[in-house]
Amino acid sequence: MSKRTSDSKVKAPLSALAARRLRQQQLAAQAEPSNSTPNGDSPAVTPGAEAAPVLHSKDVPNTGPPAPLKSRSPSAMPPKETTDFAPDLDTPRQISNFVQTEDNYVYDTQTLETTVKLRRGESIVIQGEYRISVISGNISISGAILETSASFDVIAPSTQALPVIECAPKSKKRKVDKTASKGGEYDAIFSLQSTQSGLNDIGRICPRFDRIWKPPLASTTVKSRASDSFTPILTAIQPTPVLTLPPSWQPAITSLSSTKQSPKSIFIIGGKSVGKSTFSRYLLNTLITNSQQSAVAYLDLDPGQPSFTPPCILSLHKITSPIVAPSFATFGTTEIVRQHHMGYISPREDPKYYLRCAADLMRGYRRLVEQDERLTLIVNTCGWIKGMGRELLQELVAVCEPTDVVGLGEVDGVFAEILPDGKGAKRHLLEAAGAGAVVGNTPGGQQFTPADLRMLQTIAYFHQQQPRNGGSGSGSTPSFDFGKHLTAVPPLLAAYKGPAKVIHGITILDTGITPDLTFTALNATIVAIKLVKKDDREHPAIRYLEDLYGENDDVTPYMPANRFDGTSGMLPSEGTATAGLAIIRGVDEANGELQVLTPMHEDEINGHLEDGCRILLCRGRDEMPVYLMWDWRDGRAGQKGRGGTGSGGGVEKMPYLDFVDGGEVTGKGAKEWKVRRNIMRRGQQRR
Amino acid sequence: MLQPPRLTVWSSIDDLKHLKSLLYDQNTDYDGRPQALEIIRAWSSRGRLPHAIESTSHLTECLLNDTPNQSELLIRMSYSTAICRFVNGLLDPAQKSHFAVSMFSLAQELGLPASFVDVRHAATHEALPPLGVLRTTCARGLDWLWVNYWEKVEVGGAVDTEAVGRGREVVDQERVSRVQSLLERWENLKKSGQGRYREAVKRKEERNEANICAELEVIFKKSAGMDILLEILVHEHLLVMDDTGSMMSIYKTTENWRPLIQDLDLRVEEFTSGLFNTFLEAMQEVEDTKDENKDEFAESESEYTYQWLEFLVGLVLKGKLAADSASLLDDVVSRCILSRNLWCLRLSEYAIGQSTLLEAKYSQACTMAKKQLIAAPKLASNPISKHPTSNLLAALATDKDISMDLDRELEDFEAKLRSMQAQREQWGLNKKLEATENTKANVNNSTLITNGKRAAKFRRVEADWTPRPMGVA
Repeated sequence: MSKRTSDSKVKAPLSALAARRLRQQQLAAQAEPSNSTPNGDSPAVTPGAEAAPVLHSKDVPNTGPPAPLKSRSPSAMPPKETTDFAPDLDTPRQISNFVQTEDNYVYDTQTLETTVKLRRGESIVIQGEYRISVISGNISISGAILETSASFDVIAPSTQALPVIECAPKSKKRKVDKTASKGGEYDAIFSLQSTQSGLNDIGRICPRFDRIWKPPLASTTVKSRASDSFTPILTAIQPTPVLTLPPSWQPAITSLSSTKQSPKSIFIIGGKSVGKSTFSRYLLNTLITNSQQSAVAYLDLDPGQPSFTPPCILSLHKITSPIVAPSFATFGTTEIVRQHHMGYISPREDPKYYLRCAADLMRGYRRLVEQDERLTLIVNTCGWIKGMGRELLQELVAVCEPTDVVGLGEVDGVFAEILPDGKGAKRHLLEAAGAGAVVGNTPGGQQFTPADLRMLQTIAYFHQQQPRNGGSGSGSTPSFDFGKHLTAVPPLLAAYKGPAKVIHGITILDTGITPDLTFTALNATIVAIKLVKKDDREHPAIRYLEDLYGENDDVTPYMPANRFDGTSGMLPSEGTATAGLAIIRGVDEANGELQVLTPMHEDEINGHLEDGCRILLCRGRDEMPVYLMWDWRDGRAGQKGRGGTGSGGGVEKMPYLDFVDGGEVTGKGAKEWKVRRNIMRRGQQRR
Repeated sequence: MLQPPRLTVWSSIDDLKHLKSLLYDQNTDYDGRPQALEIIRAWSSRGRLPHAIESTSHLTECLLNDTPNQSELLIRMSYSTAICRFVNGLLDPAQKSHFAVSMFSLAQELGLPASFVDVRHAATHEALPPLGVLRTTCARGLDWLWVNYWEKVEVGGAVDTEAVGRGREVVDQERVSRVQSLLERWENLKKSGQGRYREAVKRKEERNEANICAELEVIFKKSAGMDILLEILVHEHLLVMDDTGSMMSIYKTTENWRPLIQDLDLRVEEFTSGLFNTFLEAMQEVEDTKDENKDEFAESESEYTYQWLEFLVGLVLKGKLAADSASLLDDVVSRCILSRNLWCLRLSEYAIGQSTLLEAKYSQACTMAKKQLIAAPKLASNPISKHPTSNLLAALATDKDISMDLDRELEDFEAKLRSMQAQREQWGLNKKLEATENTKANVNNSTLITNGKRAAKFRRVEADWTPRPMGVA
């Protein structure tokens, strides 16, 4: 499905070949016996596709082949194909085709719930966060089919395409044939309840993301109460991405969630921004709610934009409930079976370690399968499909042995290389969500780059609240506290020297520095907390620490990474577990103590120590968001004293921050080397 | 709007100065360079290094490893790589257009001798340059970096609040006319752009607009005082009514300028508050110069100015302007209330009507001020000052007899404002004090603990935690 914006842009004309392929896909899509969509009410329906002519501007105004998203109702878009129509920026675009009446959107002052009633074919897009509980009928949202009395939490800010809620045919999961007609003339009735994950306040820490909860500019919304944490959006003038599936996806998802062959292991590849994560999420939700599976395993191999962890981490999850939330709001919704901090946002920096981690996580999955035979696996990969990236994919295929490979976008060539004939994997070649270009150009629209999203993930990660019940199982709703800036949060103290030391080793990936500069490098950075069994004598890090420091507790247990054969040589993925991330917020060298901030509770970490684990701090290249260093509400406080006399400094001094307009140093080369990849030679035309 | 600070790999600029002396202050007893390279290596793990520092370390590393017992090929290869990276990293960011500009012209622009480009070319595409050439190029590279980067470290490094101002340049005539022409371009663009819907044309216009904004940003940022530039913007453009003098044209005008204002709001710190200043002063000016004959014209001029202000306040209220909107609104509303200018009062009424938060804070004061203004219209000539607290008292002193209780209300309001300010300052002081005391206490505490026995555990800081910057233990 695409992050389609309702703002239309002229699409590049398709090649004849591409057009033919598209056509075939559409035919196939129509021919596919749509079990799940008897009335054509596929959950993937573009909201309001066959509704009023106001929708003109939603359609791609071009003479090219019909836009893929529109295949369902070609009759609804007649001759304007030929008009050179440009969207009037002031014309509102329809987001939901739900029409509010007195009866179908009712707020109950007793229960504080809002009841929404939908007819078949109606769709409603709701921004914000809410608990949705189905009263009668079935509804679909982001691939999840919710049946009567099911309920779960949705988090839908404007950083992501907004999910569409629609009536859905019955789930295939349970064969209970209820002639549910409680709703009378309505096909589905559900209630909405405000929820407070705390994410609403993220603007207090990072003002850039202040507006992600606000409805689009100049939109019409269902009148909701000010206290509600959600807003149904009907139309909007500002381009508003809404979750819609390219036509070829639904049949593929239907076939992938069929139970004929199980467990499946589904491997998803594609270039950047083709919708891999979206596809995975949709598939995940469909598998959990609309197949015989009750749990799904999810292997996340994209350290740049992981779905359920902060950046730089590869992870294996067991998931038992559908998830409709952006990647920065999913902490705690899954059960993390195992994770590895690889330290970089791309496998490019350490391909070998990347593969070793992937292989280790796959072993974790196989162990799960031994316990539970029907655990389908979804593998999401990163968007690097050229050059070494392709070779890595090939190796990953060998490691993961998928039963199905889904390729999004132009990946025929990749398929040919990474899936040699004779391997049994079934291939699914689907179109890309393709709206990347459109999204990238929306004037006035909110724009978030992968780097922005990483920053969001990191900020959200460190502001998680301890789960109240102490349990961190799958399905719990994440909770955040942005009330206090991290500089005001009391840290944990952890000794790295002396008899009470709890930090047994410290390292910086791929760097060997002199030990006395360890904290010059580490102070105020993000590190991973890694665990190694202390009786694992074969472990290179344990061996190194024993050889070098023995029983000597009076020095910093620094391990120069260049003494090892890469990270896989120092912290082999098999014997090393990642517990989570921490910020070294200060170093007290006199007492040999670190002050660390981590969302993990101290009991949890101490538990690992009691279990006989050694704790190693491992610095990768995780980026520290400046908003975690600096409380913008304090304004420029701290500017003073920066670079002062050097005597004592004073408490107001803020290290590592440069408040000077244009930079403290202005000479040539004062900026980092920013790589530009889009420069063309003269005469070289974009194809 | 506050721009976030930049993250640096060094803790304080002093560290960078220290590094500079290690790298370049050669003395016969001690060579600081190996130590400097260690520091740079440690820094490089924190984040991206400024290119000049990275290049200096690469070139220096080559130089130090150029010893007779090293393999000659290895030395040549390391020199070559270091020089290539030095040149590329310097010139790549200078590629501003869509198509590649030749490296020679880029180098010329940057003042980098063309021979560096030659050596880079040879090292990349031809036979590895001979050792002699590489050695000279490396040494020249380090010299170039010294002149173009390191020498500036001292100058720009003296960071105190005054230095920020000193670094800015005085607004000269040239800059003024540049701003004028940019603003005219914007106006023409908007006039001609009406009703054009062709995508290509539109995109071109968008690019043009972006360019204008970017250039204005640079000028605004460089200039010591924005005031004169803002005055040009406000008086020569925003407040110019079209020939008909019709009030309806305000809507078109505000829409035309909105993108520029929003853009500069994002890019230039204090732009929006400066803009408000200029407008509020203009508002006052119109009223002051109003005389009986030109009354009608002045009336429409006031209305026009007022409409602009209302439009801006509306933008701020809707969150489309100024991230730090709360304090800006506070500032504007309280100034308006204290201004004793009917138009300004109307503006504060408007703002209060739009926001419950403002209503709670100011509605009373606003009503009072209005009553008083109607009772004593002569007072209306008080100039708006940037420090509202100072002039109201003066005004009150002269007119005590007019309406005592109204005065008292306003006085109360002012007193509240002042005490809030004082509180804020006091709080800042306390924070400092507490923090220093706390560090003392901490030292005592921890020495105590180290003497006793501690369990090998992670433990939460027990004593009250005073907020302190990251990296300060």
